[in-house]
Amino acid sequence: MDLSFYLPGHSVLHKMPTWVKFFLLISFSIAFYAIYDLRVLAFILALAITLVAYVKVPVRRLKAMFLLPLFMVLLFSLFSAFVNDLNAGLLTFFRLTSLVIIAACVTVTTKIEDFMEFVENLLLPLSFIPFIKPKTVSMTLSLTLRFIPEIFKLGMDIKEAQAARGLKSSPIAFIVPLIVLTLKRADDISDAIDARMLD
Amino acid sequence: MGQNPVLDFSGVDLVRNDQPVLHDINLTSSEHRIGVIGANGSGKSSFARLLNGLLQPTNGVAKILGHDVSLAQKEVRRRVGFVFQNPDNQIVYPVVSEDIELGLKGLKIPKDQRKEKVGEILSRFNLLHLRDRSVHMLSGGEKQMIALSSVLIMQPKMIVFDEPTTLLDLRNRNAVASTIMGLEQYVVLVTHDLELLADFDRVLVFEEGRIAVDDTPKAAISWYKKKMAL
Repeated sequence: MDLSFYLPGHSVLHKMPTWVKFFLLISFSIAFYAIYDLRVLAFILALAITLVAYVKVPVRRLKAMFLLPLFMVLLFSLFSAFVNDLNAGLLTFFRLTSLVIIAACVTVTTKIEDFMEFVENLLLPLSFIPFIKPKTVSMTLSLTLRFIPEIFKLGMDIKEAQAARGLKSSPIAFIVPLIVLTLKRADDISDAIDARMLD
Repeated sequence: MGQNPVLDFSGVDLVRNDQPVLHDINLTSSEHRIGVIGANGSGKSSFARLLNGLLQPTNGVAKILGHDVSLAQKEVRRRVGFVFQNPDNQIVYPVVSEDIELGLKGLKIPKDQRKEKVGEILSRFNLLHLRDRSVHMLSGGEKQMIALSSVLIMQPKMIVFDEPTTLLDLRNRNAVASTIMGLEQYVVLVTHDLELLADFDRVLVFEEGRIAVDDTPKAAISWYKKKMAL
């Protein structure tokens, strides 16, 4: 389970400042919804696919990144076609697929560190609000990305240990040790953050 | 080696969760490498945490490199790095280079210099190929070396290791061991791996929260082995 999708490279997108990439992404999101011509949207989708080829995303990574989002897009499009008409369904499909692809290109060309810096800068004007600390927010996001795979692994270990003891699968027998171990882990991580002076 | 002793403990007691953990620890040391051994629950990990200011004495005074851990926590942490048993708890960013660089951000070092330093430290341990890798995809040994790199990049004067080889296979254990032996910093190593301590300057044996033996590695380990033999 890999939540870090960054791919090292030297493309224009890699070199582009993070805020520009996100500004463009948001602008495209708005602009696509102002376009109703299927031919134009199909052309944009073709451009988006070209962009994926340009940033050289490996096929294995493509599958991991696109399978679930494209499935969701397909569901939304079918729903739209069912509720409205085929044209509306196709519009939804072209718009969302292009956006998913462009967003994925932004993801694979942006280091998490740069993204966190972007989040910090974005929140800076709000830092006068007592409970909004930009550094803490970016650290929390990083920790989430870092430890979701670890907690997933912890869950797998618990399942395996219970299976080895011949226990039937039970949600409580799974969740309780997972919560206890995760809290213990959080305590250790908090010690490490203190030790590294990251607080 | 400086004017102040590296470790200067005077009548240190420590109570955690209403349980006494360390009793009347008195210790002065300026040795380069000190080993700490003892049975589980003997207080050695708590002792290690005192050295970095993660814990403060309940009574007594603990000075590290001339700084009182109770009064100058930040000063102590800036000078004392800590390597935990499980590197998975120590590495907080998802990508190797980003995690190593993290500590430098707090020191307000410009980005290009930070990158340069990360490159240097990774090259030193032949880990440059891991620079952009996801942390959770690394082996245990690689993770421990990354954890150590993230400590070393802060240029501490002393590094405390809390059982750094416990989770490692023999090859990785040897790699970490030779790295520890090559460090120019003061080293305090808490371990159950007695072979690691053969070339250390001094070994402390903890027993029920007290320093039971404070001697050369040979004498201390021999005492400990006899004590542990049933």
